[in-house]
Amino acid sequence: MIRSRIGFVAILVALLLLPTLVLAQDELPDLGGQVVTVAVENAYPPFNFIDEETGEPVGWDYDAVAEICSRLNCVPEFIETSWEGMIVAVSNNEFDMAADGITITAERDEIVDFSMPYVSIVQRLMVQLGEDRFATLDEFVSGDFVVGVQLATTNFLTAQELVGDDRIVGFGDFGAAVQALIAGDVDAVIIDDVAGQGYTGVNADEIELLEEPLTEEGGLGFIFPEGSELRDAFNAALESMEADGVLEELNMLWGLVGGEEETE
Amino acid sequence: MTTADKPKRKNEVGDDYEEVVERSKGRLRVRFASLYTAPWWLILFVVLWVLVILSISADPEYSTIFSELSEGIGLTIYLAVASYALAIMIGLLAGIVRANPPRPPERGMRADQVFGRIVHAVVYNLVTFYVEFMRGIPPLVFLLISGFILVPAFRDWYNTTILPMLQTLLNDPNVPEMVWRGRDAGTAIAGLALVYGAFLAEVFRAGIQSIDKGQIEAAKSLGMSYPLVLRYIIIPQAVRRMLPPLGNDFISLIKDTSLVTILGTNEITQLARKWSGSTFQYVETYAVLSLIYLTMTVTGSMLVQAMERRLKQDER
Repeated sequence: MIRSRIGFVAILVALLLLPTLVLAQDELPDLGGQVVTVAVENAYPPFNFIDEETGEPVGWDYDAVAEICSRLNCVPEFIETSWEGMIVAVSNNEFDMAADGITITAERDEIVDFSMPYVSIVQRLMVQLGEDRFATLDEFVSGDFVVGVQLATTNFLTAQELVGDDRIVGFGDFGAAVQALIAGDVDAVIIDDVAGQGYTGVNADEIELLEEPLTEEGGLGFIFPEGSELRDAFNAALESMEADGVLEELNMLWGLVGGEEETE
Repeated sequence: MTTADKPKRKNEVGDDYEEVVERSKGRLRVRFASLYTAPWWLILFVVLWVLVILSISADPEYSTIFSELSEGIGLTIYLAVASYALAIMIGLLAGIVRANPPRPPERGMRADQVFGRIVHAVVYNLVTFYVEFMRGIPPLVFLLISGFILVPAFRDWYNTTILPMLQTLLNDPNVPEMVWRGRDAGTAIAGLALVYGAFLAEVFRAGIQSIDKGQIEAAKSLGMSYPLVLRYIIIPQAVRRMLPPLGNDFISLIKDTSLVTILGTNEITQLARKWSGSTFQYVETYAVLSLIYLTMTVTGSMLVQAMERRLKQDER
């Protein structure tokens, strides 16, 4: 009797769970082949950049959004635009979303909606290889060294806090800042570690990243216009990618290993 | 307006009736004439400008942006004036060369004269190469090349090659290293001056060539050398014709200083980009930025017009 009762309960529980199991497999929304316009900069390795050999734009953003769209049944259309106006353009509904390794901040959250963070980063100092004038952040800040950053980035805000406006040189993209560093026009570049590794990977004989993190860890996310329905769909897809390990595979593939864990 | 239009004197008792009517018509004509000739665009501009300035000073957001951007106004004006002054010098020299194409040596010339003709031809071709090269490169591209390639290369070359030579030559190891960075105002001034020098060279060439050959030959037959002819015959007349295009290029140069933002130089466009990028106040920031540029360019244009008027008075 007791046995059969346990069996009954087990069957009942199984019956109750069945729909959720089915749902769990099928919980991702179906966007019905919707075209999603994605703003990218094509100047921010490893997220989106032009492949030197093929001349085609590639990067984590392309692969990740393609993977997400294959799960949600949507068609990504990548549109190149400049970083400076990207957030405002998304906020004005000019794009359905933007993917550019965008750090989640409260100020930005006021005008756009962020997806869940897909990787965590810290900001670091990028310096010329074998820099011997300073080795720590304190030495850098207390000297009269000049830092290059991309305008309208969280790195720019960090630079303002660290050294003040007079020692900042702002560029339209990080490529120019890195070029100025290589040319010796700026003494360091403040950059998210993930993106910084993208540049040091290409210019390993000229620049390096200092170990010491400049900031707390922050998360990177996609942005959507406020109230966009895409956000929840993308979050669901990101969660499922996290669950089955595809997100980590993609992050490894493009070298998106940021944050403190990387320093070990 | 001729003197006939002007009423000659006030009406007096006993004046002929028709004469009085004629006179008052004349007065009306004079009064209404200014309605047609007044610079309405300027009045409209000044009124709008005052209105905008008033609303800016009333709005705390706009006044913050204005005070933020105004820190760069000095640098923008410095860039414009310095590169224009340099461009005028480059343009004048290049223009004089370009106005005098080389001629083949003539029979019976002395060796040094033939040599002079050869030097002339070489200089002419070099200058023409410079003018055509610089006119063909967009200023933005040339600034990028200067800031990221030419200036660092020049600095490194100086510090590694010239500096040790200087130090041994002067027997002083303390001769300082050159610190010229791509973002320095010097890069912008040199870059803009080289680009605009090429444009001004063509303005000067056209101005010089517009003077009647007969005048130059007459002056030469009086025994004046070419520099003297240039100074006393050509330039005074050519300046009047060249002033409008020269002024045009100056205003264009004021605007093109905004390109320097690409190098990270802190002029007003760069400050505006910094501000809008961190605050998302794009509309407000670029409205204030445009206002500052317009104020500078329209003031520049008024100065040029005032100079033109003065030169016209001298002509009489």
